[in-house]
Amino acid sequence: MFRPQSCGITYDMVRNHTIRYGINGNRYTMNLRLKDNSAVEGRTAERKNGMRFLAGLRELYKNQVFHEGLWFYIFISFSLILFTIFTIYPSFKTIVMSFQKWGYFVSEWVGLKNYIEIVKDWIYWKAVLNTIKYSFWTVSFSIIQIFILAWIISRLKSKAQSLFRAVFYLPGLVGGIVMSVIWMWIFSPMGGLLNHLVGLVGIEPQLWLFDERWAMFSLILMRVLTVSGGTLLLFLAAIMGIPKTMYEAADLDGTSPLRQAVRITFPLIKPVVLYVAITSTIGAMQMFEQAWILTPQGGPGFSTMTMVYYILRAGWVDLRFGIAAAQTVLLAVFLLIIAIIQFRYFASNVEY
Amino acid sequence: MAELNFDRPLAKTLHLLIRVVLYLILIGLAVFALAPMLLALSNSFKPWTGFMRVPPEWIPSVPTIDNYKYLFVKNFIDIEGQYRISLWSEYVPRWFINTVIVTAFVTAGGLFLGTLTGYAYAKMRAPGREFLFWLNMAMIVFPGIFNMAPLFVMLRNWGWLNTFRGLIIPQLGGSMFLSRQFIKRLPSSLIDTARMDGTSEFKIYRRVILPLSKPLIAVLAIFSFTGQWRSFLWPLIITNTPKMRTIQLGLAMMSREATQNMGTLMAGTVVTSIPIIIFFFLMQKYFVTGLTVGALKG
Repeated sequence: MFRPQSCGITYDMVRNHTIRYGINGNRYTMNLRLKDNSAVEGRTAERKNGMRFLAGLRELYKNQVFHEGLWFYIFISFSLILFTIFTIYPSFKTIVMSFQKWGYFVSEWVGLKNYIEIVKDWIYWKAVLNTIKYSFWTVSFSIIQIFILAWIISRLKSKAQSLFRAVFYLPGLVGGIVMSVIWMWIFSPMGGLLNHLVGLVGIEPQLWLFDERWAMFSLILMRVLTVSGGTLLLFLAAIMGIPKTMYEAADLDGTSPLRQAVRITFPLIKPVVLYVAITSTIGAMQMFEQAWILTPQGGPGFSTMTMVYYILRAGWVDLRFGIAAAQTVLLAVFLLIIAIIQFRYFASNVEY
Repeated sequence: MAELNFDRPLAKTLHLLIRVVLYLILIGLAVFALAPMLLALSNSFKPWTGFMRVPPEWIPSVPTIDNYKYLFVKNFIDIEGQYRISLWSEYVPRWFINTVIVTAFVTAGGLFLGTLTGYAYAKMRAPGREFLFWLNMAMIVFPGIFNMAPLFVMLRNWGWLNTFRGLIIPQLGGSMFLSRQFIKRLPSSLIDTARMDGTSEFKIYRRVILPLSKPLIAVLAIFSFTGQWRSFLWPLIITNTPKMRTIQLGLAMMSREATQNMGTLMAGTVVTSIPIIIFFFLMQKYFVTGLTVGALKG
């Protein structure tokens, strides 16, 4: 069998038409064109006239560039079609829908009416504030907490490291629903664990999730104590990736490890911190599983109503999909603004 | 620990003190992270009346498997000699089977499409490739909630509510970024050699790319399996009959309707988490490498 690479012909040469080869029956046809434009003509197969069109197609198919391009589009078409139908089209449709009134069967154009109604709705603004509050506290606290954790774990021996990694990874792994149901018992005012624990330090039993003052705090507490294992692994990998030489000068000066962590480690992993901050803010802004399970109907006085919860309520409970779509658009705008702010803040401070 | 030369004893004690405090923080957080799960396990063996005891028992004094019976057995006599009729036992096995079916199909289909598309974006040259890739990426970063309302209306009109195709097919597309990053780093010479031999592109994918991408496949399988097993929003929207719920959704519904029945809920959490925890311990080494591959080296 003819193997072009065995006579020093590279794939790129073939691709750039310097050399073409193809199968004609059992014979190979080669057209070599050298740099000085002198052609080395190989034998060309004779074709019957009627077969010329088919042979032309076959020739085209044998052409590497065409062949590769064709198969590229065939390969991506499966997921591209699914993606267009189930993601791209509905995403644009969301924007259209937000200007429409959607009943269960009919839809009509109402312009900005949906948006005006949302802006006038005090529960919506309560949901926005709750969501921002939740995201701010969980993300900022988690980043500090997980940085400290990762920093301590990175200094352990490898066996202890993998033990702690597993310990911190499991709670996040089993998922928000399972953790929420477990915490439902912890927060329970009747025989719950938290009231017992705070009782030990002399605090009165609270209603927690059923108390307007404590409901959001409870959700934040739960999120913070369920360490996000993925983030921990990312931070850990980033810290372990810092070359030892970075610390040597500081060691010579006798700088304390704490100071090293703040002055050397943290600035060096800032790109990862940025990534984590953006992704976990986007995640936290979409929080609703916990609120849905622990505080049905948005909690006491809507104190745990979140934006996504409110979208679901507008669409799937009230069956007003126009309002739900308009809220979705607003949520996307909020997410975009927050991501840009974070990006600008962190990017301006990154030192490579 | 970095080697430090401290001459002064005060600094030495301070150093030691900081170290002790740090370890205390570490162990404290580890306890807080793990305790709820262990307590749920212990609670699931408590009899129904055991939840009212103050202070709460860490280990049930009279262990019983009534709570698990309540999930799977229709009628039984509990530890206190009372006759119980379970409303949930009819559905729990069904929820389990639903979740297994959805997880299996989404994982298998997503793996196939993800690696195929990833290979195309990574190694095949075609006009418009970069444009399509970045278009794909731009849409992936949009949160899933963004297309929810129109997608729901569309699928409702198609009659896809409460069906497996509604649960599975919309979840398939899209996961190609990690595959692309991984396959991009495979040596091109292998693929080019195969191409020059006239091997068909699909055969290259099957015979060259797939065998080389085993770590990638493990990582994608982990993401997809855990993600699907835990998924909540999509089943919540697309199903509204008890029969078609997935296990997470079923557990959530149980938690809203049976708030007094803590023992059963705890047993439910244990049953729901067991497959994922077994999976974690089987694939532990891939979990650690997998997460960092996508984000850091991308």
